[in-house]
Amino acid sequence: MNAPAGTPVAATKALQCPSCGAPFELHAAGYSTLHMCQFCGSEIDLTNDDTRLIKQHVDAAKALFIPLGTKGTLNGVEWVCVGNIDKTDGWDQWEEFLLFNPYHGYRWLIWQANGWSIGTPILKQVANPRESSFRYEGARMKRIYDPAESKIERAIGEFYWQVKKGDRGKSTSYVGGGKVLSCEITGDEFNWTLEEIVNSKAIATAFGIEDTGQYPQIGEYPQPHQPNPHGDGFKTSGLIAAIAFACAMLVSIFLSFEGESYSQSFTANPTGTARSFDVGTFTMTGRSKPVTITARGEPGDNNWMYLEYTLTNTATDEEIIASQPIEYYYGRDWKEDDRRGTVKLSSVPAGTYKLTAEVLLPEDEARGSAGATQRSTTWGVSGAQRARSVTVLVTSNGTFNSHFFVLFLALFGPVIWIGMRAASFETARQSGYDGADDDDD
Amino acid sequence: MKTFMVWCVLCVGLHSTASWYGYSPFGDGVQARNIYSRGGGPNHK
Repeated sequence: MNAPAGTPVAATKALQCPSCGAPFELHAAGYSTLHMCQFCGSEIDLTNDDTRLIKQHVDAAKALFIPLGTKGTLNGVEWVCVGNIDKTDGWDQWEEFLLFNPYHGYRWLIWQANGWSIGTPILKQVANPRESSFRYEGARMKRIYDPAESKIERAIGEFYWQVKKGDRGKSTSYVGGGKVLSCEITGDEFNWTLEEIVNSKAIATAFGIEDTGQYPQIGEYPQPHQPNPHGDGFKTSGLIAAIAFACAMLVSIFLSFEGESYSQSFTANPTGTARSFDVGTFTMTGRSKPVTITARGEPGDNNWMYLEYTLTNTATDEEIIASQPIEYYYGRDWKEDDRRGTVKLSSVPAGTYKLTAEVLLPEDEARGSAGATQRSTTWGVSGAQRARSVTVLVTSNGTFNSHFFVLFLALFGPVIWIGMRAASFETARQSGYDGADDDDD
Repeated sequence: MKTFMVWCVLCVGLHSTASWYGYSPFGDGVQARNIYSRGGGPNHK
């Protein structure tokens, strides 16, 4: 319930419980209609000037998280705690502290096993509480707790309506837009409350009490409207990783325009023995660079040939060896076309280099062993009977796919890990909803 | 998040340095001499 602006400040009034004689103060005198003695639980009518005992109880006094009469400032408004209600639905138990400010009216401070919320009573009918979802203030509110009977186990302090221990009603809750809308159903009356989460530290600071903690320090699952602590981190880290990956790609593309290219074609004659040819001699200057050798050949149908490269530094005679299969196989409904292949040599120092390529054919393998002869015969008889061509291109630049693979893992591995933590939080949150078990089936 | 940003800058820096010098710890397609026989047949099953 919200008080209109300009409402005069409520007077504090000192009274005495007609049942146990305990003194108490009215903090919302003029607004409250009922007081429940916090020492004996007796119900005292405040509608008249002379306090009248409605019903006597002998409940034991209970230590409250926020003692009645305690003042605290939340969101810039000073509130005084005037009442406390213990509720249960037979499964969960929670406490509701009634806060009062003469200019802002009443608020509920709700304590559950996993943290605090502040609830603002809504004076209009938000929706039909039998609906499973609806829109409220631009957000889609989805029902998370089906209507279930709740019971007041204890009520102490001042209230603006007649309440007593044992009162029953139904309640249901919806979540959306980071807020919870709960509805208390009593007969034909629906009382809606908009709940926003409050950090337990903020409660402790405001009311000068001990920090009661919140999920994950306490409770089995997060509150429905508790912000996912990893949700923003997942989005931000994903964006940062994507930008970093794009930057790395731009660097690689920029570097790929550097360097020189040389190419040479050669025809390998299966009947001849000269299978080696020079691709070219070239000079690399400056820093070490990658060398990319690309070959394209025609091995024949269901056949192969093999290129063995030797990159020789003409000054030092140091050799770098690389090799490349050129293959083409096919069947009625399948094909393996590797007639084009690339070899990349890592970090070749500056210098003058000569690249030679030796072409190896199935016939060469056939001469090596009896078993290989069988393979050669099986796979390459027809193709081996004709000459096979190959063209080799060498360039002093290139990018390594392995770079991108490693970089992707390094950048997005942490993002995936954060995402899994965010998903785990959501899974834990939804495990507390009604119907969560049904979803698992 | 600041730690992750530093990590990303480090990764991109290492990647750029490796690209600049054309270095790859794995190489792509480099093989030793005289291993030309890959079995002489398709991988298709």
